[in-house]
Amino acid sequence: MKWSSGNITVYQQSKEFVDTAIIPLLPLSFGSSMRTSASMADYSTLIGEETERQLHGRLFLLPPFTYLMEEDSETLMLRLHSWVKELKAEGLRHVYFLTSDSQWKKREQELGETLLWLPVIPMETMDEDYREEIVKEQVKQLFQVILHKWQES
Amino acid sequence: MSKEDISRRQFLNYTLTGVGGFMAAGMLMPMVRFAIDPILEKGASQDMVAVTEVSKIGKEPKRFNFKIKQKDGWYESEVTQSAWVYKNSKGELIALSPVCKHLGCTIDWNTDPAHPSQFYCPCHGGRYEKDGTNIKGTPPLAPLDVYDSQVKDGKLYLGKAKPRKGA
Repeated sequence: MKWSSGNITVYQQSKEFVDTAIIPLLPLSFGSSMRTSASMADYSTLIGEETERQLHGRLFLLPPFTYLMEEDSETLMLRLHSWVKELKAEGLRHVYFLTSDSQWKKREQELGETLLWLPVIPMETMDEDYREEIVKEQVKQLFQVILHKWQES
Repeated sequence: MSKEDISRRQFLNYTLTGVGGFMAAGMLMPMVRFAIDPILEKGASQDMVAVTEVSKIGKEPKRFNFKIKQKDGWYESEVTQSAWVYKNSKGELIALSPVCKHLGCTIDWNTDPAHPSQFYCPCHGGRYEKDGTNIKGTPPLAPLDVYDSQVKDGKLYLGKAKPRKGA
């Protein structure tokens, strides 16, 4: 499912089948790391969308959680926790964070949910077929994580 | 003299009728065109896309990707689609859509160890026979969609995925 009105209608009718959410965490920055943050956004979006396409019926791809790179990490953590709280109340038992920002990797323990951290691969110069192949391959790996969690529960 | 056969009044009459007719036609044409537009519209049928060579298709379902043009409002983009293609026992080519009829996840062939040689949906355990028929007792309520297919010059062309009646 995506955050679009058409998908929401389906979601509301078949809520009991959707129990997983993915939140892309996208940093925003200007100046010297502007390009990096944009690459991260590109990459996470591609990965998120492909995962959603494959697991459309059980997984909710939420709008990205965006923040400034310089933002205070305590406040960020609080904001993120309030997202998670809301999602759990909604019945989305499995919450994943999808990001390329290594800042989160350092604080993985505090997140409380699974962090899918993928170091960014700059894609702007790749030709389309190759890009697709890489994304497919990466998503396949993520699958293993998600499917394994599903099988456990 | 024949030159004087047309009087000034007649000449003006002809001219005005002619010009008036043009103007009226100019106004009516678009209206008529609007009114009958639905008839003239080309069928929204999607062009067939070459997917693979027939010789690469075997008895075991295999996934092939192909690209179609999708129009989203004004924005036209290429979207990758895939199809599970195989030859059935009669030698006919079958191309099935990989989209689960339950909630739209992507199905895979032969990935559930407990039920080999079936299509399996990882989301809610939906299963389908090789011919795409949904298996009773699993979530999907309809068989997998089948692509319109055509073979030309040894190549397989696929069109739109069409739904079938439920089992």
